[in-house]
Amino acid sequence: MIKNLSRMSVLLFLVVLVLLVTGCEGQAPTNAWPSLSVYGDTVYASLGPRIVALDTSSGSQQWSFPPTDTKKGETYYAAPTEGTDGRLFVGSYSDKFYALEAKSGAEVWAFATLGSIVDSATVTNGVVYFGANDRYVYALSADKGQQKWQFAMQHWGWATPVYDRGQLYVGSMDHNLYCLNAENGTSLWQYTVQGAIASAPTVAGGTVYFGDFDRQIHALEAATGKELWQVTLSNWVWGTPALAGKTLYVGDLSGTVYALSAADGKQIWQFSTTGGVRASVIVSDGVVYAVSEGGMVYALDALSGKQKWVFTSEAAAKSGGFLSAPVVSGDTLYVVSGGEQIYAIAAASGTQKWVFNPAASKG
Amino acid sequence: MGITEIWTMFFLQPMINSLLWLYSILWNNFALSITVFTIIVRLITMPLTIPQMSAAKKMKGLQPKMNELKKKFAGDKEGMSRAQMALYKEYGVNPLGGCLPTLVQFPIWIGLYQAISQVLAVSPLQVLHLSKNIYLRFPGLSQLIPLDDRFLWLNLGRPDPYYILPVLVAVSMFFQQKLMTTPSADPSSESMTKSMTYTMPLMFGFFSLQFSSGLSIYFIMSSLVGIAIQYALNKRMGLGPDSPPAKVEPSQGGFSILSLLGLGGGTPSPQAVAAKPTTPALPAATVENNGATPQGQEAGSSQAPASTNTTEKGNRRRARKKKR
Repeated sequence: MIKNLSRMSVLLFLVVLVLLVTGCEGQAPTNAWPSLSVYGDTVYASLGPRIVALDTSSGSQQWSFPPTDTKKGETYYAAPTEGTDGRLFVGSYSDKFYALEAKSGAEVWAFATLGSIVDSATVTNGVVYFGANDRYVYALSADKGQQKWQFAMQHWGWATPVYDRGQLYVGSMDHNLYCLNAENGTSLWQYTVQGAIASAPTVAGGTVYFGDFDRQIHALEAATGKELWQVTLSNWVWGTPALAGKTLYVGDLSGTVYALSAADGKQIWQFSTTGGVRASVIVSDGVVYAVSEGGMVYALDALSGKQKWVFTSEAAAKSGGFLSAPVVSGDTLYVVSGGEQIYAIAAASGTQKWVFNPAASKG
Repeated sequence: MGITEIWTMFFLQPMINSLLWLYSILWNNFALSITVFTIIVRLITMPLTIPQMSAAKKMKGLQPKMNELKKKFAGDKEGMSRAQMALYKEYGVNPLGGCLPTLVQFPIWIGLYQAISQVLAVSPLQVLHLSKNIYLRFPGLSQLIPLDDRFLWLNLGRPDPYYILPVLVAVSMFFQQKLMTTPSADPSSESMTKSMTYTMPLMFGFFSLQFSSGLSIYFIMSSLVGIAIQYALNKRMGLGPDSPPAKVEPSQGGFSILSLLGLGGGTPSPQAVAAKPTTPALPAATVENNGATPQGQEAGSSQAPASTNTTEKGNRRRARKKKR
């Protein structure tokens, strides 16, 4: 009987092992962190398997792509980008890039890539630029989705390309920051760092600022790629640094928000949050807004780093916190939690105006 | 600190960081680092495999006696079970000896699987999760992210598009199962073992259609290393489907904690041997009828440590009496 029991326990364990194995991250994941963008009076949000458009004043849903009653089997990390022609551009984690009608969410065209698309696209002069996990940066015509050129990198492209004066600056997971000719995709210069670059750089005043997974912030000369300075922070830098005046604001995965001198990288102040800061911080009207994995939204005085207010969401904390960048539009701050709830918060006081819960809207 | 934190800190993180370190010294080849890491872990856990096989060998040697008991206790399940226990005790065979070492190895296998899954991070969420488990005091490890996910025709983060790896997973696992299987006296156990030999490889082969190919490589390597170890031990210990059963001699000792874990094989300590009366093995039914068990020979294996202590105490008491 004992022998039977021992055999049974082995069999039982194997079944549990198989369940564990299949339940874990063995296959390509289907979940993603939600993100949002705001254009005019509409909030566009990527919420896992669909894109939704909400009214900024009430949070009521205008449309969904794909429509709520249909399934496309795709996942979206990237926040949609609006072009000048009333179109919305967004890449899916399921290897497709879409142009949608911003008013209705109807599909205009789709472009297939050979890899997932993680971050948002940049639209300039009728051209859409984005990177993909197939290790290419693509340039497509915004009207028809025809490929103009593609540029090969050595690893995934997770960062939104940044356009500035005919040049495209692209960070890559291959540890390089590329400066490309936006017209034809040829490389003008590239700068290699020790860590992967997962977010867009900030380009201003002839300087390119970006962070990497080796905990460093770099400042390069935009024209030549020559290094101006670099500083080391406490943990991985995943967000895009925000520049306001002569100060650079950035958060790292240790949960610290830093204010650095844009001239030489010297620290001006630092502020500790609850949970890591993966998302980019933003600056508006002398206030730095930062969101954390701990489910907190912070408003800090840009000059002193002192906390003005904090918005806490227990539901957000339980669902992985806030992983994507907040957006300020008018007097409202918009954030989306890992649980896909979208919050509209008064930028001045931190009080909640409305919350959109996709689960409730389905019901 | 909860169980999850303890697991992460003491099992998962060392494995993840070791795997990354191996990747850095093995020319940034992740398939190669999975292979070497699997070999190292399997070699480290080999001391747990040996008692497992030793127990299997002893069980195999007892088969003729078990068959006799089966005839004797046909229809009397309780009697058969008691007689079986007495037989195991008599010959120092621990019926759990084959199972417990496997159970001890399970956390290591799960840790290994989880470490490989995490290091194979392909999505931003997975990379974010991985970032929490990388030792920042070794900056070189963060610099390795993301790993090179290309190997031969494979994208290690995605399933094999040509279905070659799922087939290899099933085939290698089948051969390992086949090599591990030893004939059992119990027909129900025998049929269960047989069905496992076929169903497990098929199941894992099927799951590998969905798994990232990096994990499939791990399964294949794990099976191949398992086959090599099993083959070497079979040869050394004369165990295997075709090898003759071992000669099993009656043992002097009961079960101890070590033997229960399959680490002592039921061999008693010299003190215990000295103290133990050399009574012939009694069928379990007789033991029950007598009402009392001889010193150092408890009826249940769960009381094994107490049994050894009692024996040692008795030995010392007798020695003191002699002195007087």
